[in-house]
Amino acid sequence: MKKQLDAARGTQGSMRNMEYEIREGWLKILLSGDVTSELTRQIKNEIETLLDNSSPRPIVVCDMARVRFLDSSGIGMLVFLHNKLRQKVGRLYLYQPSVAVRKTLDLVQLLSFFELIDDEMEFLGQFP
Amino acid sequence: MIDQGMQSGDAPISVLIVDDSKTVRRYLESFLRGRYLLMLAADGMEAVRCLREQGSEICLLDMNMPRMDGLEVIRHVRNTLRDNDLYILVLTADDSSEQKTTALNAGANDYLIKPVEEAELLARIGVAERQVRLTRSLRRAYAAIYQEIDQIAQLQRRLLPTASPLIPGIAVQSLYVPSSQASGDYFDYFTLPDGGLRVVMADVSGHGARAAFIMSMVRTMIRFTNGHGRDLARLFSLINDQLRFFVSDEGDFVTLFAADIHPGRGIMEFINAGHTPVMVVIDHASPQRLKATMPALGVFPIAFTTQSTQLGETSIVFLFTDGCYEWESSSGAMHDLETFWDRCAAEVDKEGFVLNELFPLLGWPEKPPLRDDASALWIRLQRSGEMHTIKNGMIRKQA
Repeated sequence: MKKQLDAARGTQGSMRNMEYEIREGWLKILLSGDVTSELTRQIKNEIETLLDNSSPRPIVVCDMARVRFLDSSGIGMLVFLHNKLRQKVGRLYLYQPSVAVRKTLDLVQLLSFFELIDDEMEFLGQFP
Repeated sequence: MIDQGMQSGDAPISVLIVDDSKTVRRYLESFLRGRYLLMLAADGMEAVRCLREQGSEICLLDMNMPRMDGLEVIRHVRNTLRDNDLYILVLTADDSSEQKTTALNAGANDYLIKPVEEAELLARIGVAERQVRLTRSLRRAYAAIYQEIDQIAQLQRRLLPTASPLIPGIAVQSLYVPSSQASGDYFDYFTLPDGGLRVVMADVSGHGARAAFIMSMVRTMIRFTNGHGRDLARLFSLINDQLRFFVSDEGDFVTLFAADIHPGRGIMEFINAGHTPVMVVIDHASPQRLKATMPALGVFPIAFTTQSTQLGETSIVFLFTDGCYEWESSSGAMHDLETFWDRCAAEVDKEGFVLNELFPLLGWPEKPPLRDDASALWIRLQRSGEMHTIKNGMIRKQA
C-alpha cells in the first residue's frame, strides 16, 4: 500500500493558518495563507509545546505548499524551529514550499539552509 | 503584572440606569446612591445620548421602553458606538428565553428578570464592578506598555542620521516609515577614516521592541568599529557572530547591505547578506542589481567576501527594505519586488528626484497600508566633486 503524507491520521490540532498532525515517528505541520508576525508568535508557542512533549530526536515536516506570503518573522519562525530541533538532535523538513516561500527564502539566501522535500514517497521511505 | 485596580484611590464607577418607569429608576437610585456615580435615562434615546456624551461603565437596562427599546440600545452601543467595554446588565420583566438569548447575542453581559432580590442585584452589579476594574487595569497596563515602546521608538529615531554627509560629490536622501512604533529597520552613512563613505541598510526580522533592540545592537557594532580600520568582511563576521551568540535561539536574523564608497577611486566595495537587491545606476544606463550573495546574519557561521563595482561619472545607489513593497493593495493583491524595482528604475535617476515622495511617484498612495517598516536610502555620487546638502528633502549645491 502506498504511503502518503496525508495517510494515517494521528492526533490533530489547528489554529488560524496552521494545522498539525502527530504521526508515528514524526510531526506534520501544515501552514497556509499569510504567515506573518500576527501569527508567528502563536505558532511558535504551539510548536514549542508540541516539541516539549515529543519523543527524542523529533522529526517535523512543515507543509508549505499553501503559503501565500511569508514575511521576515515567518522566516524567523522557521529558523527558530530548525534551531529548536537541532538542539533535540531532530530534523526539520519543508515540504513542497510554494513559489512565494521559495522566492522569499532565496532572497535572504536561506533556501539552502533548509532541507526541502518535494517527493513524499522518498521522505516516507525513510520510515520502517 | 496587571494591577487588579482595587486600590481605594480608584475613581468611582459610573452606572447608567435606563428604565421608563420612574418608580424603578427611583428604587434603583435609592440603594445604589453612594456606591456608584449614577446617571438616569427614561428611555433608549436618552440612554444613547447619555452614553455618547458622557459615557458610562455599567448600564442597568430595561428592555421594553417607548421610542427606543433595550435591544436597540445594545445594538447601538456595540455596533454604532463601537463600545465593547460597557457592561450591560439587562433588567426586565420579560422572562422569555428567546428575548434573553437575543439580548445576550446582541452584546448584553448579563440578564436579570424583575422582580429581583436586592441582594442578588447588588451581587450581579458587583460582578460588573469587578469586570470594570479589570478593564481599567488592562487599559492602564496597555498605556504603560505603549508609553515604553514609544520611548524606544523616540530613541531609535535619534539613532538614524538626519544630515547629509559633507563629502564633495555625494548627496544622500533617506526615507523612514515605521509600520508601528518601534522598528527593526536601520540605515546609516558616515565618513571613513580614509575619506570614503560607509553606507548601511539593515532589516531585523519581525518588528516591535525586540527588533528595535537588535537593531540598536547592530548599529552599535557598525558605528563603534568605524575608526578601527575594520573592513566590511570583518565587520560582517563580528555582527554575525554576536547575533548567533545572543539572539539566534528565537530565530531572529538580520539582512544587511553595507558598502564603502570611494568617490575619488570611483569604486564601491560592498557585501549583501540576505538583503533586498540594491539598485545602482551608472551614467544614466540601465540599473544594475546588486543581489545578496551571502545569507542573512545570525543564523549560521559564514565566511564573508567583499565584492566591488566600478562607479561612473554620475552614479545613483538606491537601497531599500522589503517593507517598501510588501503590502497589499486595496484589491487584495500583494505588491512584489519586481514591480517596485521596475517603477523605481524609472524614477531614481531623474533630476529633482525626492525620496520622501517615493510612493506617490510610483503611483501608490502617499501613505500605503504598510505591513512592515519601510526604509530607503538614495545616494548620488558625482566625480566632478560638487558639495551638496539636503534640506527639507531637496538637494542643494553648497556655495
